[in-house]
Amino acid sequence: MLYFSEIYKEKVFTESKEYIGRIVDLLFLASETALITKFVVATKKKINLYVPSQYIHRNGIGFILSNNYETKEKKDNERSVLYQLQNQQIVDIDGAKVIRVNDVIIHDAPDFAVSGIDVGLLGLSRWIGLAKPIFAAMHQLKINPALNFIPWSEIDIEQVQNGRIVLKSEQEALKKLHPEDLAEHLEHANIQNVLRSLRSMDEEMSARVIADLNVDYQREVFRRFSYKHAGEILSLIEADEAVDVLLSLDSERREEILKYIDETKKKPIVHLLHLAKTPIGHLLSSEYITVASTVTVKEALEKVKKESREFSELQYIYAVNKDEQIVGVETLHELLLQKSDTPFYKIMNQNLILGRLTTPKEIALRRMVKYSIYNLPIVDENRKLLGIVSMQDVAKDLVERDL
Amino acid sequence: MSKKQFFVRLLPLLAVIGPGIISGSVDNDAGGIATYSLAGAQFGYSLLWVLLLTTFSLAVTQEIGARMGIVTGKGLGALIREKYGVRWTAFTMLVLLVSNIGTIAAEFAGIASAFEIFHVARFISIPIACAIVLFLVIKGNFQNLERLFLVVSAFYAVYIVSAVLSHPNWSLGVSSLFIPTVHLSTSFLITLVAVVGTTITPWGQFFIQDYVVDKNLAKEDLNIERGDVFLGSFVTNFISFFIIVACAATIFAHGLTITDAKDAAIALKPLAGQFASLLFAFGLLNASVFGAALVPVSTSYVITDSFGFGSGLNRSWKQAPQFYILFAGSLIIGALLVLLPFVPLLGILFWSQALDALLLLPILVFIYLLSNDRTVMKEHKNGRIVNFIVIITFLLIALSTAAFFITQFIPQ
Repeated sequence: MLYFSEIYKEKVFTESKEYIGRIVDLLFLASETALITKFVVATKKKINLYVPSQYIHRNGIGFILSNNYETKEKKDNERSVLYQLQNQQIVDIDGAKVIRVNDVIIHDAPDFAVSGIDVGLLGLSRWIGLAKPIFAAMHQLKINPALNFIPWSEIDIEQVQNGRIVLKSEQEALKKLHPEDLAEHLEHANIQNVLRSLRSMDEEMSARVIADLNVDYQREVFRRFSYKHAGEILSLIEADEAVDVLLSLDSERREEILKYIDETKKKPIVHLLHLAKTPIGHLLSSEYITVASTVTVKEALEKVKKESREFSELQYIYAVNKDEQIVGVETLHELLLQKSDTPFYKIMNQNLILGRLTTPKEIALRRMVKYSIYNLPIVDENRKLLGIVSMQDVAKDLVERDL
Repeated sequence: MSKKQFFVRLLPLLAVIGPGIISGSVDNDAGGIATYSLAGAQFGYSLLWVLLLTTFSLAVTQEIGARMGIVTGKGLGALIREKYGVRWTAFTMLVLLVSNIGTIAAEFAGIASAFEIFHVARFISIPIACAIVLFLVIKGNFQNLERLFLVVSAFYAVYIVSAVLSHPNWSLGVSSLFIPTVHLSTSFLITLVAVVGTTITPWGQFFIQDYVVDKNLAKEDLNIERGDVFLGSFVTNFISFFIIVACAATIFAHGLTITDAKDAAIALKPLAGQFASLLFAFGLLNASVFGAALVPVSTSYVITDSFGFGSGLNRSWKQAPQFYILFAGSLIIGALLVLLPFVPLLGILFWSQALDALLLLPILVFIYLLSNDRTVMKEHKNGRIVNFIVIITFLLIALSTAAFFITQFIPQ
C-alpha cells in the first residue's frame, strides 16, 4: 500500500543507477479498477516525462525505471491524481459537500492502481511530515485511527470522467474503512465490479483483469453465474487456475460448466483434470505465523521470535483479519528491511496465491513455481487459513511417487 | 412609486448588500478605534494620506475577494488548497489563525477597556463576555446578529458629530489626505503599518469571499457586489477619517497623550461632555462583542473548509468537532491572552493591528497569484489598475515594516 504523499517528489533511477528525475504526478483511468497507466517524472530540466507504469517497479530503495523505458503522450481518457483527485472536494450523491481528498491510496500489486481516498487527519499530516509521530502516539495509546479511508468503489466513476469526485451514496450511508480493511474490501469490490462489468469489457481487458485477481473470485463465480457464464469466465483464465476452480466443485456441476468452456481452452483443462488427482491434505503443515494486519513490523518480528523456535523453517508471515481469514502475506526478508513502526497492512502483499484442500499436488507445485513462492497457504471456502504446504514437501512427495 | 413599491425594489438589493459593509464595520472594531485614536492623538493629521490610500487598497482587495468567490464558487482557502496543496494551505491557515487570535484578543481588550471605564476588573468582564459570545453564536441566529450590529454601527456617527464640534483645522485635515508626510521615527512607522493593518486584514479577505459563496451569488450579481464593497470601504474609512480628526483636534492639539484606552474618550468630549467616557465605552463594547462573535466563527469555518472537515454552525458537535474546537479554542485563547495581568490593553489593541498588516503580506501574494490566473478566473482576471494597487499596498506594508525595524537599530 502506498500513499500519494509518499510517492510525490520521490526520486526515480534507472536500473543502471542513472538519476532521471522525481515523480510529480500519476495518470490513472477513470474506471472501476482505476489502473495507474503512467507516471509523470519531472527531470532536472523541468521537462515532464510520461512513463507507462509497466516500466516502473518499486524495490527496497525506491522507484526503478527499466533501462529500456519509453515515454508516451498523455491520453484523453487519463486523469491526473495531482490535479483531479488530490485536494479536490468530494460531494455525496445529494450534492452536499462532504470532505476533501487529503491523500490518495495506491496499491502496487499486481499493478499500480488507485484503491481509495484518505479523508482523515493522518492524510493531511503526511504532507506536513507529522504523520509518523501522530501515528506512533496513537499506536502506543492503542487508539485505532478513525475510519477515514473511502474505497474507490464508493466513488461514482462516471462523475470522475466529468472532473468531479462524487460518492455513490449519501454521506450518512458512506462506507468508510480502517486502512487495514481496505485491502480486503478492495478485493471484494474488485471482484464484484469485474464480474459485473465483464460483459462490457473486451476480451483482452477482462482476461488481464481476471488474471490479476486473487483466486478468491471462485466463490463469486459460482454463487452468481449460470453454467454458461461460468464457462465463459473460466475460458479467459489460465488452465491451472481453471482446473483448481473446477476441482472444488462436485462432478455434476463440473461437467455442466465444461460444456461451455471455449474449445481451445478445454483441451489443456481436461488434460490437467486427468492428472493424478491426489489432493494435498496430508502434506499440510502448521508451521506458520499469523498476525493481525494492524501490528507493527516490530511486533510481528517479536512474534516470530517467540513462536517459531521449534519450526524447521519459516519463510512468510501471514496476516489474518478478525474472522481468521487470510488477508495478506510478507516475507521475512521484507520484514527485516522495513522500519519497525510501520504497520503490517501497509507493507503486506495483498495479492494472495492460495490453494484449497482439493487442489491437486501437481497444480499446487505449478502454482508455486509460477509465482516463485516456497509455501502455499491452504484455505477453506471462507478463506480461513487451514495450514501451509511447502514446495519442498510437495516436490519430495511427487519425486518419491515417481521412483 | 409608492413607498411599498420602493421597499420591494430594495429587497433583492438588501440580500446582496451587506458583506462589504459588515466587513468594513468590523474594521472599525476595538482595534480600529484604538489605532485611529492613537494615530490622531500622536501625529495629528499626518497619517490621513495613509487612510486615503488604504481606502483604495481595501476596495480593491475586497473586490478581488468578491469576484473570486463569485467566479469560482469557492472560498479563498479552498482555492489555495486546490491550487497549491496541503503544505501551503497549512501555512496560510496558520497565518490566519495567528492573525485572528490577535484580533480576538483585541476585541476582548476592547471589552475589558470599556468595562474598566465603569471600574469593573477585566478578570470579571472577560470571562462573562466570553460566555456571552459563546452563547450568542451557538444559540443565536446569525442573521439577526448581523442586522443588529449594522444598526448599532450607526453609533460611529457620533465621531462625525464630535469631530465637527471640536473645530478641527479642516484645511489641514483635508490637505493631509492628499499630501503624504513621513517621519522616520519608529512610532510613526509602526502606526502607519497599524493603520493599514486595521483596515485590510487577512480575516476580511477570507470573509468576503466565503460570504459571497455562501450566499450563492452569481455573475449577474457581480456589479451590485462591487458597489457593495466599494460602498463598505468608503463608509468605513469615512468614519475612520473622523475618528482621527476628532482625536487630532482634541488630544493632539492640546498636547495630551493616550496611555490607556479610556483616554481616547476625550475625543468625544466636544459632543458628549462629561458623558464622553460613557459614550465611548458603549461604542467600544458594541464593536468588540460583534467582532468577538464573528471572527472566531469565520476563522474556524475557513480552516475546516480548506482542510475538508465538516464546517458550519448548522452541523452538530458530533458531525463537525473540529469546527467547534477551533471556534471555542481561538475565542478562549484570545480571551486568555488579555487576562494575563502584565499585558497592557492598549498595547494589545494596537499591536494586533500592526501584526495583521504583516500577516497580510503572504495572503496578498496568494490573492495576486490566484486572481491573475486565467485557469482560475477565466475571463475575469485582474485589470492592470487592480494589480497596480495590490502591488502598491504590498510595498507600502513591506517597506514601512522594514523601515520600522531598521529605525529600531539606529539611535534616534
